[in-house]
Amino acid sequence: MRNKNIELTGKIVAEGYDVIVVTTNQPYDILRKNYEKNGIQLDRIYFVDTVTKNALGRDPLPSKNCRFINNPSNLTDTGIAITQMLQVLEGKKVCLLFDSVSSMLIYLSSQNIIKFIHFITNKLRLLNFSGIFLIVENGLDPDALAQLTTFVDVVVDVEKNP
Amino acid sequence: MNSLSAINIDEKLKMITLALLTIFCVFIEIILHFFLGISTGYTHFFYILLVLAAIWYQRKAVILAFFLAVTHFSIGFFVLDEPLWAPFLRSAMFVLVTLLVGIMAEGLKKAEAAVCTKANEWEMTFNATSDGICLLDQDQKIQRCNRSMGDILKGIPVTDIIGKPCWTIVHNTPGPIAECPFVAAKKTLIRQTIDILEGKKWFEVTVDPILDSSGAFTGAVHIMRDITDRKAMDESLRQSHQLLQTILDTIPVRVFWKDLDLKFLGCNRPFAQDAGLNDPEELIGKDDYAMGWRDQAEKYRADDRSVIASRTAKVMIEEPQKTPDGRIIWLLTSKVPLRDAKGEISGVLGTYMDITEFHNAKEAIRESEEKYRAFFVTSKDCVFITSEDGEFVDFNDEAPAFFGYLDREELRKVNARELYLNESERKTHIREIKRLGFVKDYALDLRKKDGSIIHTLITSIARKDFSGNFIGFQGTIKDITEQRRAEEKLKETNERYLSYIKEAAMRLRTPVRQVRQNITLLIEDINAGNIDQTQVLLELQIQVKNMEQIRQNILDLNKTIINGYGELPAASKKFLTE
Repeated sequence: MRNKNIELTGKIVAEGYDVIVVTTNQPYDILRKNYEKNGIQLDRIYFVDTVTKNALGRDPLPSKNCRFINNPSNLTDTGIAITQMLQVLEGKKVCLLFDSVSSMLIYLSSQNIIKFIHFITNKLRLLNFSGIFLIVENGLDPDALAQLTTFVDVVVDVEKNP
Repeated sequence: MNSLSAINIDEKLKMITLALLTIFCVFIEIILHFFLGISTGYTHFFYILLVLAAIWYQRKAVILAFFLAVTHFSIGFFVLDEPLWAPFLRSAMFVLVTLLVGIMAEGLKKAEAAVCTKANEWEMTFNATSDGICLLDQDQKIQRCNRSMGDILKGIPVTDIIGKPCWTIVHNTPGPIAECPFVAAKKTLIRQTIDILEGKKWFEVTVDPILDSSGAFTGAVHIMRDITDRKAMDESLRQSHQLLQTILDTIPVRVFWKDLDLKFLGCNRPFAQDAGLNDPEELIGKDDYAMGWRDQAEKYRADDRSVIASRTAKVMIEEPQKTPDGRIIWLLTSKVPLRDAKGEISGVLGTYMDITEFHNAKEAIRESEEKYRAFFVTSKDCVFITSEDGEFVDFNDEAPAFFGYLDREELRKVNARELYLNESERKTHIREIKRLGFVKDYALDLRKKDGSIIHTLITSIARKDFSGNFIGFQGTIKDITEQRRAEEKLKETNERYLSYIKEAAMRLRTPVRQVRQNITLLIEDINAGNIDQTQVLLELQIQVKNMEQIRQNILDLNKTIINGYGELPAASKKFLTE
C-alpha cells in the first residue's frame, strides 16, 4: 500500500498535477521522507495528516504544506482541511490521493466512511478535480465496496494493472 | 181359469140365459100355478135362475128374486086366492136364497180377484227378478222358469226350456255335472250352493229341495245368479288386498294392530320378523308380554291405553326397543285408535320404523354439530359464513372483536366488501375460491373498523346450492399481524446481525491486517536504515493507537449486541464491554 502511494504520487506529480495526500495510515514525516527518497517534488504535494497528532497526543511541529487532524475519526476537520486546500488550489491541475479507506475502518464505521467519501467525491466533481481512493483488496464488505464504486468513475486493481 | 170365471165367459150370453130362464119361470108360473092351480113343486126351477143370477151378478140378483117372488105371491094371493103364508114363504125363500148365494158369490169373486192379483204379482216378480229361476222335478227336468233364466241361457225361449233336463240347457252335457248341486240337494235334502263358470260369466247356483208333506223329495227350485261383477269385484278386492299385503310386507315400516285388550290382531311380515316369528299369523292373540320386548311391554301398553282412552293419535314418537337378540334399536312410532263400522274405538293401530341408523347418524351429526358449534363459537380466529355479495350469513363471537366492532349486531350490518382494502383484492380472492373450490392460508390484508390494517391468512371453502351454483364461501381468518411484525423484527434483527458481523469483519480483520503490514514495513525500514529513531517511535505509537482503537471497536460492538439482544450476568457484561 505504501509503495503504491509513493508510486502513484510520483506519477501524478510527473503529470503536472498538484497532489493532496489525505493520509489515515502513514505519518507525514515518514511519507515526506519516502517521497524525497523517490525523487518526488514535495513543493507540489499537500498533506492532510490524521494520524501524527493522534499518535503523539500533541500538536506536531507546523509544516507549510501539511494540515494535522487530531484523530482519523474527525471527519469534520478532515473535510474542512480538504475543502480549504481544494479552494487554494482551484484553477490548477489537482489530484487527491486518499490513503487509505481501509485504515479509516479502524476509527469509523463503514457507513460513515461511505458518506464521507461521497462528500469528497462530490467536492472533486464540482471543482473538476481528480481523486484516487486506495482500498486494500478484500478490506471492505462487497456491499459497501459496491456502494463506493458508484461514487467513482473507475475501479482499478493496482496489483493487476501496475 | 176357474169355474166361476168359466160361467162368466160372456156377459151377453148370461143376460140371454137369465132372460130365457126368467121367461120360462114366468111361463110355468102362469101355466102351472095360474091355469093348472099347482102352487108347489115347480118353483124349484126358479132356483136355477136365481142361483145363476146370484153367481153371476151377486146381490144384484135379489132384484130378480123380488120379481119372481112378487109374481109368485101375486098370482097366488090375488088371482087364486090361496092362503097367504105359502106363497109368501116361497117368495121369501127366493129372496133369501138369492141373497145368500149372491153374498157367497160376491165373496168368491173377491177371493178370486185377490188370487188373480197375487198370481199376477208372483208371476211378475218371478219374471222381473234378474236371477234365473226354474222349478225342476225330481228327474231334474225343468217344469217352469222365468224370463231371466232364458236370458241367462243365452236368450233361449222359455218354451224351449220347459221339459228339458237342466244339464242339457245349462251345461250342454249329456248328464249332470260332477258337482251338480241338484244331485247333492236331492241327496242331502238341504240347500246346496256352488259357483260355476259358464263361458266368461260366473254364476252362483242355489238349489233348494222341494219336499212333499211326507218329506219326500219332489223337485227343487234352481236359482242361477250372475255374479260375474261380484266375482270381478272379489278378484279386484283380492288383488287389492294382496297388493296391500305386499306393500305392508315390503315397506320398511312395521305395522300392527291390537284389540281393546291389547292383544295383537295382526301385523305385517317385517313386524313378525322383528318379533322373531316366522309368520304374522303366529302373532295373533298374543300380547306384548309374550314378545321379545317384554321388558318394555308395560310402557308400550301404557301408550296403547293412552291412545285408546284419549281417542287421539300419537305420531312420530322416537323410542328405544330391545330386540330378541338383546340389541337396542331406535324406533319411530305412531299409534292411532282403530274404529269399527259404528265409529267406536275397537283397538289401536301402530306403526314403527327402525331408525337406528338414522338415529345414530343424527346423534353423530348432533355431536359433530356440537363440536363444530364449540369450535365455531370458541375459536379465537374469526369464523365466518358469507354470501357471494358479501352479506354475513353467520360468524362466531370472536368476529366482532376481530374487526374492532362492538358486538355482533354492529358487525352484522357491515358488508364483507368493506373489510377488504380494495374491491380488486376481494374479486381476486373470490375468483380463486371459485376456481379451486377452496383457498388455504390465503394472505390478505383486511381493514378494521378504525381503519387499521390487519394482516390475515384466510382459509375458505366455496358454498354451493343444490344445483352446484356458487353462493358464497365460509372459512376462518387468522390474524397474523403480530406474527408478521415478529417476522419483520426477526428479519430486521437478522439483517442487523449480518450488518454487525460484516462491520465487525471489516473493522477488525482489515485494521489488524493494516497494523501488521505497517509493523512489517517499519521493521524493513529499520533494517534498511531508512528511518530514524524518532520516526520509529512515531510509527509504533500510531500502531499502538490503532490497536487501542481496535480494542475499543470490539467493546463497542459487544455493547451494541448485548444491549440489543442479550441478557447477560452483570460480570460477563462488564467483562465484554469494559
